[in-house]
Amino acid sequence: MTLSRRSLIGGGAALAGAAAATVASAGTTSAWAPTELSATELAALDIPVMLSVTNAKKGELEILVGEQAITFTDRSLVAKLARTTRKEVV
Amino acid sequence: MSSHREAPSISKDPVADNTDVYAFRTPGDTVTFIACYLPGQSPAGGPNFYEFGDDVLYEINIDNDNDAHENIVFQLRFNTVNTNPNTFLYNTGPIASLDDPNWNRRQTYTLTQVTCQGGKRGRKRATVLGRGLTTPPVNVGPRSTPGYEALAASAVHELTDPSSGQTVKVFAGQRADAFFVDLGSIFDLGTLRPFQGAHLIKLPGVSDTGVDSLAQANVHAIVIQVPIAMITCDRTVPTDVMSTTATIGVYASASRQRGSTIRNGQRTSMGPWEQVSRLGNPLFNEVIVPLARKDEWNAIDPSDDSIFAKYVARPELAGLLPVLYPGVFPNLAALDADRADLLAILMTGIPAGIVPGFQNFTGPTQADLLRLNLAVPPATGAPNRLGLVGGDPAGFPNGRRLEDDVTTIELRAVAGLTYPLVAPNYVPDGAAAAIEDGTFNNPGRVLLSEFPYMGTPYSGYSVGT
Repeated sequence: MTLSRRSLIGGGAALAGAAAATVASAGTTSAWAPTELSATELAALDIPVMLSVTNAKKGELEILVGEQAITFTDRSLVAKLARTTRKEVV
Repeated sequence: MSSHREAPSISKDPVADNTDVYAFRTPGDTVTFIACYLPGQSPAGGPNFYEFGDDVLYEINIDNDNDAHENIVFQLRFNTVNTNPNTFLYNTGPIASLDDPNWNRRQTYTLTQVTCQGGKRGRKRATVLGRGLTTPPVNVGPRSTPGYEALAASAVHELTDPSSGQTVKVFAGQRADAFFVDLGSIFDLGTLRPFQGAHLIKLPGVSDTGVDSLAQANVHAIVIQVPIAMITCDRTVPTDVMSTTATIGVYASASRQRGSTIRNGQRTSMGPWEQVSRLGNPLFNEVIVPLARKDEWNAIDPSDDSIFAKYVARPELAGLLPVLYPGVFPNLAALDADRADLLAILMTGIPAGIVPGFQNFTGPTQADLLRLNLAVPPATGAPNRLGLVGGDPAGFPNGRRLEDDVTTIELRAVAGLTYPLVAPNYVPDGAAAAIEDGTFNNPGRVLLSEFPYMGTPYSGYSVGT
């Protein structure tokens, strides 16, 4: 399955939603541990954020926010995104 | 064109399309940099006239220690506002000043100087030189923008560098395109109108007079004048032409953020800046780099340009000239060697010992940079349009002035005129010293004798009349 460089989510709220959904389904291995975001955390997402899968096979993702790119690995989130995408596209 | 619409991707993004770069010494031990964007503007471009992009990072990059990595970067970010939400018009009356309430669509900008160690990826220190700097309106016409020269002059800003106390002069706005070239002819199978009688495909009865395709076209220019001592590595004004610290390498660029979305008509960008356009030497990407790699070239740093050196060493155009002009370039056709002359001119600078009393060598790193030896004083009389090739070391390829006929200079160099500099036994074809596109004498081309040097933009009302 190839999702490389495909932009999946635009907007902080959507990212937060996807992250929360991943945590709910993937258990404790995800970097997105808390399901309830604090006011400070919500404020951090009050600017445009884009999440893209840069290497689906390795579970590599990239968050674009401000003038930064934050890369991280989360196979369970990639799996969730891939399945969600497949459902939507099909 | 020099770099107007020169690559597939950037041709679809004119706001970020870097068209020309100039760097030349100016009075008072200063140097002036000009970077142009937004190619081929039809002056009658209303109601949405041309403007810089708020979502583009414009940069003029200077390497002063011969490693092809920038040490000083001048960055510009623009901000656009509509002052009147109730009109479709750019202006609702004459614009008499830069704060005239009749002007509805305005741009201001921030100028930042960034000093770098190890290029943009290394350590950086940013100093804001000016915020809220005004741009002039475009030249709409005599009713909307009367007294345009005075309006534009009021958008020249003198700023003080807080760290050195030195004065930086800056202008950003619409200007008449100073570049000239016969695009319609050159890209019709390499036709040079003055020599089209010798072309492979005959067109009897057509004129031999060159046609400047950019006559009456505008661009948006960023013009920055700084003291030489502000940008050299030892913070002095070099006086020894042969000194290894006398030459700077310059390129301009435009970058966009990696990600963007469009929602409800609103475009939002985020992420790190990605270079989408750059330019050092005129015509490098346009004529040297193959079409399939032009976008890649625009995205990489000049310090990585060695991967393109093979296209300079064996330029496609040098192979085409003998084919398109049969019998005119026999010596060029027989030349089967890497073009060390072109590699020096375009990628490393000219080392000492090649041109007596001159060098602008910046070390062995191959990079497309416009190299300016700052110890060479400005020409005392009228600049020679052929620059160094014409015996005027203050001109291209020692930096680039607005007067330099870079199309002819590079055509002749590629045709073999400069090869004897590195291969004294080579005899250039007679045509190598004669070919040109015939656009230098465009009578409508006007430059200014003082800052910002580029001519007043053509007005929408007047063009075509």
